[in-house]
Amino acid sequence: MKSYVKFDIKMYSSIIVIVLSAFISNIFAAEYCYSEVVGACSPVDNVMENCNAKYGGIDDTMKELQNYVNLQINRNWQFLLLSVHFANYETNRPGFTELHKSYADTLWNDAIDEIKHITKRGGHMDFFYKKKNPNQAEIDNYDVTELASLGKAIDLWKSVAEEGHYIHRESTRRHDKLHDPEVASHIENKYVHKHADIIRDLSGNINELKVMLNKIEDSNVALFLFDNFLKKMK
Amino acid sequence: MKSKMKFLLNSFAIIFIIIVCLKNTNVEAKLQCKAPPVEIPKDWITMVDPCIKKMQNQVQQELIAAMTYLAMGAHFSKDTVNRQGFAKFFFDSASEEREHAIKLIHYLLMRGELTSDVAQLIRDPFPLAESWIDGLTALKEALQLEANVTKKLRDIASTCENPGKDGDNFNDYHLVDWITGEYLEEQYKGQRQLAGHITTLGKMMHTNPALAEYLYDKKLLFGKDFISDSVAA
Ligand SMILES: [Fe+2]
Repeated sequence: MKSYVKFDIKMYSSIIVIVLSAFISNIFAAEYCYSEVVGACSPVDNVMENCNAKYGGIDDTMKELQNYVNLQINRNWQFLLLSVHFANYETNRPGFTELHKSYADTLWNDAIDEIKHITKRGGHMDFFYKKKNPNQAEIDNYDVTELASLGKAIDLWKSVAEEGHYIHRESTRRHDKLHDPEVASHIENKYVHKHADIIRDLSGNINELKVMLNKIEDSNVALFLFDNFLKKMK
Repeated sequence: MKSKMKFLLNSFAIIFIIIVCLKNTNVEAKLQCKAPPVEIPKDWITMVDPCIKKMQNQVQQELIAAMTYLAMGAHFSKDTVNRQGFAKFFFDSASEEREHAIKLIHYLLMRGELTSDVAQLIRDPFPLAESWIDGLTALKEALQLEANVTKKLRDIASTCENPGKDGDNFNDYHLVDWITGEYLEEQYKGQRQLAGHITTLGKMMHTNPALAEYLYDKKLLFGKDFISDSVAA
């Protein structure tokens, strides 16, 4: 009778050990690419869930980066339309046309590079994800004056810069799911200095032009001169 | 007591009105930002409505193509897909399509159009899809997309040649010549290139699809000398 019980305990404990070890090995198998790759080489087909470029805080930052690309694309169309507005025969300001076109091109190329960055970090691009941001600068009318277009431009660029700051802030937080030095450094190297330069240039232009528009009699000649030098500066 | 209150209220109202008036004159004394319009003869502006509409619509079509190529580029640069040659090809095509849209816009500007309502030229274009089974499928879809664009360009040519009563039957010789001679030529060259890619890759896909796509991806990445470059080096 006693031996029977003993045998029973032995059997149960071995079953528990087997089940537990299977469970533990499963946990480890699910965490590493190496075991998946080795598994894939055995006859049974194995799904590889860890053989990708994802690590760090990228999972939680990914949506922000996708939103950033969509913002860059959207701003690129807005600057393109501003440039078109100054290229018609009635407005006819080649300097302003080129200025806004150069901003559109910069944003378009940045968007392509940012998509490459997203995919470098194991992500995919979702073109339909846009964060709702009611306070963001938008354009409902492109029929604007030269000075107003510079005002619009500085608002649009600031919103792009601030969005970059937000991603930087998130990725530098001391938080297991968010901290990601690569994303923070990428934002710093690729954007923050460039954005600062652009915004400084625009602010300089606005204040320069504003002073010259004070005298009603001279304002049209001032605009002509400003447009020509704007083209020369580019 | 009542009359005193009335007097107080009245004086408040008067002060308020004075403040508002002062503020308004302030606004009017601001900068002279807008130049007075100039009288310009309009005889040189000859494009007619049906034709203008078709041309403007084509801008959005080109941009939808640009966005679709951009999505293809994004798909093939994913680390889990990793077809850098295909990605490069499609990213380049995306920027090319954007240039096509800009080219149409420049034509309209040259002819004296786009003096108002430019906002409706670009209406937030989106890609037609976001993922593809393989490179061959994406190339085939690209060719279909281009064929569709070509069809719309032919439609522009026929509308602008014969715009009907709404367009005073104005035959726009130059625009039709430009669309057929310059624009369509680029279109046909692009289609031929895509068809060539599909043939060569498609033949190899019969036997070993994974190897075929791998090799073709390298060809797209390194150009026509990819074997001599990579093997000889
Ligand atoms: Fe095109």
